[in-house]
Amino acid sequence: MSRRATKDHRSRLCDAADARKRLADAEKYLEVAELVASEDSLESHNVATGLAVLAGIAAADAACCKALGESSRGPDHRDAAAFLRRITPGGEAAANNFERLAGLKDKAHYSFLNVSGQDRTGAIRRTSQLVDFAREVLQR
Amino acid sequence: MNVSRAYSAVAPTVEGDVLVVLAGTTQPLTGRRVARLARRGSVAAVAKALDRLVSQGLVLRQEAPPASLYTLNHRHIAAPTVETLALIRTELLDRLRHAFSSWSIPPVHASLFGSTARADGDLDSDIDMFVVRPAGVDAEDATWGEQLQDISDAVLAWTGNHAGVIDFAEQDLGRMRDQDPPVLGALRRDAIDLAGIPLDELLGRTR
Repeated sequence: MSRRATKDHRSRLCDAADARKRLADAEKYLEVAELVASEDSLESHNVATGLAVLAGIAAADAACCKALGESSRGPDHRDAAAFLRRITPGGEAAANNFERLAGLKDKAHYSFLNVSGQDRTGAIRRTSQLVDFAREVLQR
Repeated sequence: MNVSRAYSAVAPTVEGDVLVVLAGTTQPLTGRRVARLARRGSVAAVAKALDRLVSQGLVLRQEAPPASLYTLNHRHIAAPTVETLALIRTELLDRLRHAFSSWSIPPVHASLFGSTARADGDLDSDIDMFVVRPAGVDAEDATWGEQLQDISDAVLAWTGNHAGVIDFAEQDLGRMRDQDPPVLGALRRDAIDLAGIPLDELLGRTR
């Protein structure tokens, strides 16, 4: 299907095939994030967290495509959280997880500062939960 | 049980497909969107089903000209039943995981694959599982055999479908990777992990 934006341009239409593609992306991002996180260096904190954020975004897309037929397309991750929150059951917890994860995005992707080890560990954990949630939604 | 639309055992008409979509979200959806998300039913058939469900009070309609938007009425006395139906595949996976977790000889790996995993089979589809027997447990081991029989019996009782179990020896995994038979492609593409080492890890590469 074509990747059509919806009328408000803040989301795009998508389907179950798109959901599977984004879930595969999420799983791969998470796999690499975990690999990088296993390195004992400060740089690995930002890179692992940045990859975890990308995995979380892909997982959110996957769940939303399957349950809602659309996903957020804007840079504002509050929109993506709002979409996740509309999935039942489980969307509320997933959205809360996503918001905490997205809060690390700028620091991980663009900042001159390093993400703390605690934040990196938290990001990987939250992302794992988001990927599990997306997987479960796709299996419904 | 129709493995692609498990809820159809209880709700066989398009109404069932519509309700399962609406149970998955609190977002008001157009009839066209419901038809796109539903496993079957034309836009016209879905529209008729929505009308019938609105008249029953189980679905709420709000006008947003030129469209109408629909949501499940979560306060309706039948809503919990719909919510249960919408998660019937999840229930099957939960039961299988629970059953494998109680095995006295745990499998190295167990997964669901084939049409049930893809949700594209029908009433007559087998429920295919790939079960890896630990090295050191003989294929003729009585306890192992009982475990396989028990899970096959349970699947039949839960779904009305026969289980198709591949009982695979751990020590043969390397040869399977080398020979790359068609079943390996099916596993990599569709398998849903149920117990033991995840399939990706077991096969040494991601799907």
